[in-house]
Amino acid sequence: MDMLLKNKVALVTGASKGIGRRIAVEMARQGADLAINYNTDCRGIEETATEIAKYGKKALLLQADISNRDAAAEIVKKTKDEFKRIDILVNNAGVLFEKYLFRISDDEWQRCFQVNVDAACFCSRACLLSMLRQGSGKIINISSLSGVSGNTGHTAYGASKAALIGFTKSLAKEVARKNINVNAIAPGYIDTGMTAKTSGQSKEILSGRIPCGRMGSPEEVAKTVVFLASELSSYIHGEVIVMDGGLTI
Amino acid sequence: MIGFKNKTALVLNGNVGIGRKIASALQKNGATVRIIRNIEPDDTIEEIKKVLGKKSALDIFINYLPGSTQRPDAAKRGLAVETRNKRNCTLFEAALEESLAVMRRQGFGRVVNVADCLVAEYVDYMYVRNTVIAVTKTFGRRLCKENIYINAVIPCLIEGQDYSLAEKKYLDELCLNLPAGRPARMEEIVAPVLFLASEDSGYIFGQAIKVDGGLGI
Repeated sequence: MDMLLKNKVALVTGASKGIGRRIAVEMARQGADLAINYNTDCRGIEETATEIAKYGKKALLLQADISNRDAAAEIVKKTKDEFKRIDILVNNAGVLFEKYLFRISDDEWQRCFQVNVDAACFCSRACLLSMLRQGSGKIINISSLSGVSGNTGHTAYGASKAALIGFTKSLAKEVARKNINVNAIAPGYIDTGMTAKTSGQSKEILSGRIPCGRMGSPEEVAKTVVFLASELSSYIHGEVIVMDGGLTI
Repeated sequence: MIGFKNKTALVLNGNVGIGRKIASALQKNGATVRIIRNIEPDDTIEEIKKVLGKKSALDIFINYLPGSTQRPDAAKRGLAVETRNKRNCTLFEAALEESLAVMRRQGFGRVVNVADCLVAEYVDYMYVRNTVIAVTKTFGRRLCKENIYINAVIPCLIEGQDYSLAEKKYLDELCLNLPAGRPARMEEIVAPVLFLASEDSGYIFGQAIKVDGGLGI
């Protein structure tokens, strides 16, 4: 079977674990070379690179706090220096502070927006120049169900992920005519190991609340990202694909 | 491309428009495809049974709902178009119910509801489009637990359609405001349908994905 991302170059932010890692590995499986960003988890990113290598694809490791504009520009520059182009950007990096509004500090609120929104803006802006020159490109933003329908304890996180959806739709309108697709995915409860921990509930209790009776897997999210990163989605612009097992239908 | 080896697919209205292209793409990618031609709603159950045969295995059901292709004609349109749209919607729901009965017995299945593109008038397009979205969400939630995935693809403009001069003028104006700035190629509509019909679209339930060049943003 043909690989969907053969000879493509993708930059995935926050790729040291969870959904980000699976996206990077699935993209490699589909034929892409990868630039993978991380901030602090050196061991995690090495494991991601090892998995990518199994598919014979290159992995460029890029340490950076991409909520800093210059750092974000720098990782995009390094990707272009290494691979000479960027076809796909996946804005996956994110932070979650699971706190009620009256408990969340100003610093935590700001950090949430810096990582979840500002970083996506900085990376997209830096990549767009290359994509416009190439005459094609794909930007996929990993939002959240919290940004679509809200969630208790997610005031900062939900607001930032809703902002990412607004960013997705607006940018899609700006660049659709340039053959650049900008779309988003809004995952619900995904079994990353962190979900049950942060929500304070067991996997079984969470699964019982989901109409399809189970949590989603990072692999399932990754396959939808690959679809949006491939030519199969060339006429989809500004769409938010909700992956929630029927939770919000 | 996505593989459908050993899968059985049924395509409602697979002999016309987008339906025909989807049926052809599924077959090309390895599926055994059966087609239901335009039939009367009352005959749906019998026809599906006949098409599926005794085994009644059904992995994928593509439920394509064409809109009215009747040209806007102040004197003649109205009731005739409305009747046709209602008839198509009734058929669409009857076919879905019958296919779901088979999938429920199996304990799995994937349904992709597909609305027609803008072919005659905007009001017809909206009638069909909103029916597809409503049916997808209603059935999507109901069948989540039964390992049956129901999603939809909502197209808008497709190049190469048989448009009248008046329609072309209207559609050209629409294109000016369309973020993509151009109508879709047929394969650009077919590809997302195939994705939703495949196992790669795990954990997506009851979603209506707009494949419309950004018109719906």
